[in-house]
Amino acid sequence: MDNLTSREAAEESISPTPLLRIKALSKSFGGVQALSGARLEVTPGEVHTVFGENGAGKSTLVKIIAGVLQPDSGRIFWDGDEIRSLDIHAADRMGIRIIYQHLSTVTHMSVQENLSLGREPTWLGIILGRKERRQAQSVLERVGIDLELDRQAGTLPVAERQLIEIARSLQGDVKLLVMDEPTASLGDREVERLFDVMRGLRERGVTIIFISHKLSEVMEISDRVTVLRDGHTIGTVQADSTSPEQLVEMMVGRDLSHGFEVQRSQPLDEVLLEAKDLWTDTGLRGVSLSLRRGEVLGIYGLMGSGRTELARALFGADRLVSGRMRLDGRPYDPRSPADAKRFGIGLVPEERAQAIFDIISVRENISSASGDLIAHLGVIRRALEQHLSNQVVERLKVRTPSIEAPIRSLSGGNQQKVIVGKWLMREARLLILDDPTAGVDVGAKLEIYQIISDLTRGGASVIMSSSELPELLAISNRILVLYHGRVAGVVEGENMTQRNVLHFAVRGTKNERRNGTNQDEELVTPF
Amino acid sequence: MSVPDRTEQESSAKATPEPSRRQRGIFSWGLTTYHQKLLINILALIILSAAIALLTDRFLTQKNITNVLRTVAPVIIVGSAFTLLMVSRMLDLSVGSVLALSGCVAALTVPHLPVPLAFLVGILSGTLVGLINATLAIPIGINSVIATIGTLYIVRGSVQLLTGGVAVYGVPEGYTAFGGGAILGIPNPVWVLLVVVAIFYFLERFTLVGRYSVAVGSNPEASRLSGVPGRQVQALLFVLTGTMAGLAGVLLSSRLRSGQVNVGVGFEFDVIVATVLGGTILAGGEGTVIGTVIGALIVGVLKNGLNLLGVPAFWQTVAQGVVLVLAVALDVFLRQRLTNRMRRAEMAKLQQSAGMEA
Repeated sequence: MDNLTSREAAEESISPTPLLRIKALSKSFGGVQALSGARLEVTPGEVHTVFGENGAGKSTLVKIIAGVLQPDSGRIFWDGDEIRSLDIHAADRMGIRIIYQHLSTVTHMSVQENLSLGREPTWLGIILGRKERRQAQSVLERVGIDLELDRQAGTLPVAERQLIEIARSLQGDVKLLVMDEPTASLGDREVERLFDVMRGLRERGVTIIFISHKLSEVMEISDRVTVLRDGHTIGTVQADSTSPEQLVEMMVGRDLSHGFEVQRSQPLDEVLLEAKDLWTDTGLRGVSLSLRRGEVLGIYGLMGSGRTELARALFGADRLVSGRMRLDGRPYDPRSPADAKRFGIGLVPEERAQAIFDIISVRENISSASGDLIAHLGVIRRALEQHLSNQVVERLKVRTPSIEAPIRSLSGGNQQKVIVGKWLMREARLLILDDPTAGVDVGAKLEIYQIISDLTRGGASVIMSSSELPELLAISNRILVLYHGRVAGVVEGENMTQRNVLHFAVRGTKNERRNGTNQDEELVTPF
Repeated sequence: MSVPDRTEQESSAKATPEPSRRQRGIFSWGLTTYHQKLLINILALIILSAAIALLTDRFLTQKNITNVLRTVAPVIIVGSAFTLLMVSRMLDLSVGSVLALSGCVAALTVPHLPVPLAFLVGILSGTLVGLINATLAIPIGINSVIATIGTLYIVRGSVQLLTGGVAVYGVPEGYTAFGGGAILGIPNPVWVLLVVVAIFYFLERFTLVGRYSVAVGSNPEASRLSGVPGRQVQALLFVLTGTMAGLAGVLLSSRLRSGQVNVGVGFEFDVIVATVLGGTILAGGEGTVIGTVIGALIVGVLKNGLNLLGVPAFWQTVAQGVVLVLAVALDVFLRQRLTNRMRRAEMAKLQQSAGMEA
């Protein structure tokens, strides 16, 4: 009842006392400003979504609310009172509970044991089994979910394990539940079920902060939405009086012109790679694509959309559950990265740590994928190795004192060039770059674009995923947009605009999820 | 715009429980891999015993069975604590050296102390090593395998220093009663074994120690976020394991009427074999005391049977290795089959739901 009145108050957008008020919050990591002067005001009993692109600062904000991270500056008010220092225990005492993006159920334990973990009813250290069971049952009833208490948690699907976590977090006096992208690994029907649970909690007066970048979900569940961009709070709006279009506008906002001009390649008509209906148990749900010779195919998608999973599947790093690929007109079914390598494919993975051997030299790193080229009967031909490595270093303008320098002494951008060079040494005809410019300075970025451009003009093809849309728009011939493990759309030519790409990225194709408004329909097909 | 109508939604909601029922079928009569394996182990023990009993009539005698139990007693006594330690993702390889230490300490102190006190001092020397292991592995953070290999050497060397490298004899008459005597015709080590197993079974099944050893062994981060004192539990289990090794060493020393310097060399591997055969996994999170008891009995019965059948000792060692490898291979096979089926079930569900949307 109390929560009803406060929700009405929220509609006036001025509430008597916000449950949580955050002012001018800043936090930086090293040189990166994750939050700069962020604001957030959450009224009791609402579902408040924090919305924004990857890297907008959502997770940092959540961690500060949870007391896991301490802000550099800023003020936090809880129920009107200023909180001087917020650590995990203080947050817990105040009734703040967090559901993290990564599951934290103990797979070897039963549902009941997971529910009571850390707060088992005991007498002299002995667990009171029947009391524990009653408590577990009442928790599940309170949250309105139905699970077998004796089932081992590890044997449950991800969605149900998530429900365990929600139920577990709701014990004690809970005022605020923060859910950090809880829908990232759920299917549509499971999202529905989660939303039902969330609505039930709201009825019971629990305030919820929901983190997501899926527009349709945000529109469906939220009372109010706060948009973050580059660590700033852009604004807070009522969900029912805001169009999806306005939200995207707020999320993107920034000016497109980064000022780089790269000569776009002219792809040939020949198709190099064709993939049909790829499914993996890492999360691809029927991805198809085709790639021409000399083409740069951009891959865009928000977190959890399957970018990295697609790159890994194409490279044979994860096995396909189903789907077919053809390379150069012949069947291509890589059983391992070694297989893909033999087909002339190279991968620059998202995590640099997965690609470099950090204590050894630039030379050894460059030749690390080319043992077959530089060795004769297993004996490494040092002179040949040096010659080929030098060639690569010159061609890519890697700034290193010598090829014998340890790779960790190089800057991030130059390390990245070495990783690309590893595949250049093999003359790869298809290079898969998974977010190659992340954490790389602007100068090195431009050089990487130049390398891509040179490669494709030499007839090689490139698949490049990136979390930075402007660079994809600048260098790709086409952009394939992923949403939740599926192809939401492909844009090219005049339609290749930031806006079009983002519409696909936040919402999926028009029949992906319903949202009901006509506005919606117009937006999905803006061209 | 594809707005699924109500009936479609309802029918899909009804369809959901079905895969879960199908999934449960995977666990063969609702058993988890662990219980499947325990069942297989018990069957293996019965079949093995039956086979040996058929081949020789010297196996199923009261004397022989007592003998088997007495031989496996140290492994089971130490293994009970060791199992919980391994479940919590820690290992203690120093238990063999502690066996020698506690026996020698008891034999060395018994001229100066009453017998029970000398035994207590011996046992506490094991507790002390457990404390050292806990300190090295937990606050200092040395990998427990490396830390306890270190204490394995340190303790073994210390025993040699304490005794000058020779066995300690000249213990009083009453010294042998603890390990050598019998109550109601059952040797004392077997009584001790039963009490220890009962205690650790209780700890595992009914107390926070057992619960938290699984939690921290299975998912340390989740345990931390749930406020589970996982590190304290691990430390306690190190201490208990050291203490049990001390107890086993004192029993052995009492039975041998002496402190033997070279007792327990390689004993840590006997304990690991019994624990792993019993279904505890090296990566932690899973395992039970009863499993370890069965595992130790399988090894004990196998050795005894081969002995009775006159198989040379060298072959017995080979057989022990073969049994271990086969058992673990079976475990790997069962697990893979399980995960494959679960994956296939999930994918089928996803593909099916994708089909419905299209």
